[in-house]
Amino acid sequence: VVQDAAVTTEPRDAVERVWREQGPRLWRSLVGFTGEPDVATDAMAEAFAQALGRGDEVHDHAAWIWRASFRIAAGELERRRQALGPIEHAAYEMPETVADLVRSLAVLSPNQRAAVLLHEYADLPTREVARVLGCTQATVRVHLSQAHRRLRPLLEDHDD
Amino acid sequence: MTDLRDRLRVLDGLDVPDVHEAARAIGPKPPDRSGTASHARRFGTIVVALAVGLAALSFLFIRFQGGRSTPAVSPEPTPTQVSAAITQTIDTGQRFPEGVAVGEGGVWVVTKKADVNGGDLLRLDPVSGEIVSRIPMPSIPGWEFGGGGIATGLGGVWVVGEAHEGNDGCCDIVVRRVDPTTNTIAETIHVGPGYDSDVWVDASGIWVLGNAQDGSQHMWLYRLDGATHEVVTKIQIPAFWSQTVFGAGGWIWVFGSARGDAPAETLYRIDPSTNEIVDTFSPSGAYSFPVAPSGDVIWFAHDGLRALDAFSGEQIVGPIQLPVPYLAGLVPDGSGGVWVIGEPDVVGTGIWHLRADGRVDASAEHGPDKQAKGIAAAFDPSTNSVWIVHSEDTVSRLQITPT
Repeated sequence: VVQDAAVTTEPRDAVERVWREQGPRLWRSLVGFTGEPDVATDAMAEAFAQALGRGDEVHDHAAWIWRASFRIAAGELERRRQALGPIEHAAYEMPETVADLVRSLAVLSPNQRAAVLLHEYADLPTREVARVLGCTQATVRVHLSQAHRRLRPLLEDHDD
Repeated sequence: MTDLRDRLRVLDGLDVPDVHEAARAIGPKPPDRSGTASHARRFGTIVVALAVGLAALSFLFIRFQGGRSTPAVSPEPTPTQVSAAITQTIDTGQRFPEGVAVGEGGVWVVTKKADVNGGDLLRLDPVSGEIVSRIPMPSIPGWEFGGGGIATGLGGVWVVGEAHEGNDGCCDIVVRRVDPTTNTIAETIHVGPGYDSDVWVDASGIWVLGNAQDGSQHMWLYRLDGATHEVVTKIQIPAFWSQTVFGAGGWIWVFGSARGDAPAETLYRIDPSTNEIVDTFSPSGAYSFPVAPSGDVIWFAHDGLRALDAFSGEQIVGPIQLPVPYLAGLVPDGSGGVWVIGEPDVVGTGIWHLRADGRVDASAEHGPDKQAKGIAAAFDPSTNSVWIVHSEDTVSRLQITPT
């Protein structure tokens, strides 16, 4: 621990603070986005590792890590889309309520799904969601509007 | 009705693994990367599985060359041995490269700034790979995973994007024409309300695909006159999400998701003489597969590699079983054939070129390195290069050379 402390730099502190304060929320958002806990874990670990490696180059570590995590997770979804054979899934059993939610969110396009999770679950303002998704606030509002419209029947079903 | 925020709270019940420890285990990574997740653990498993199955690979490869549904053709080509190596990786100077197109005398890479709308369109010299021009773009394609929204033809480079006029709604779809003789934006054409998806250019005109702004579950395909660049019609596409429009076999095709299981599942065939959808195809019955139009052949990968005749919509090639678990790229050569790039860093990977009839006429014994994996790619026949856009920072040249 002392040795770690001796080599700790400010960027490393910032990355660790992001993990402590936002890590669980980020990971759960990624699970909702990907539907795959192992993909969420890999994407987030990769983003944190890159943030550590980039050091001072990153000015806003929280924003950078959120964006990188979703970007990497989206890339992994794309990779799986191109899978030609069976995909190995990690043995992580999700509660049925979560699995049900993931199935509901699967009807959304990736950006709609990400917008919903970032805004409605992670409580990011639309300005921050736009930074994560790399689009404008207006586009985020469209994504949210379309997602709500598309999820409405599913939410009504859930009431039954 | 259940509130969406309440419904999402079930995620709070998930136990969070020690991802930070996993990140420490990976260790700090330098910025230069190919833009994909570290999959060492998964690759390890795949490598073991592939090692066990190595004996079967030669059998698979024989099948790969034959394809059980491929019609017999003659003469059987002898595959040319090629090498495929990343010979250049170019820093785009912007955070997120998004798409690439080859034509009009250049290699064109559209890039996005890190935190704001807009970016640059880069013109690369096809031979040297140098960035010869950087054209600021007020907005760039909003393609969800990158790769689309740019096309060349009719004397221009066409890039879609959004435009905002200060209203509280969303946006207009715009397509910008860059003049390759001056490397400047020559025209900004407002196509209609909504947000952009993709663009295709051929002799029949300029075709711009976009999402409806009103939240309805369909797309709009706008047709612009090839000479006046005015919108002449718009066609409703009953897909709630689509990233792809292209021309093949004399038809215009939209590849989109009809039932909402992203990313895509259905090919809509549009007759440019009537501007109507005349047919739909769900070639695999699956909802998740890539397509690669090349000349008058539409390649796609699902349970092997297959191809449709773009004139008839009938499957003419495949399924061809590939000796690789994942594709890093399915890159059309523009003449009916396709380059198949296997997942880098996996035992048994490689690169193959298939003719329009499904025959392998070139292959590389060794697979390319990890920079061969990106989010978009385009083949330049003039230099025998595949240009690969990574999800962050860079674009690479995969040089294919006969050995």
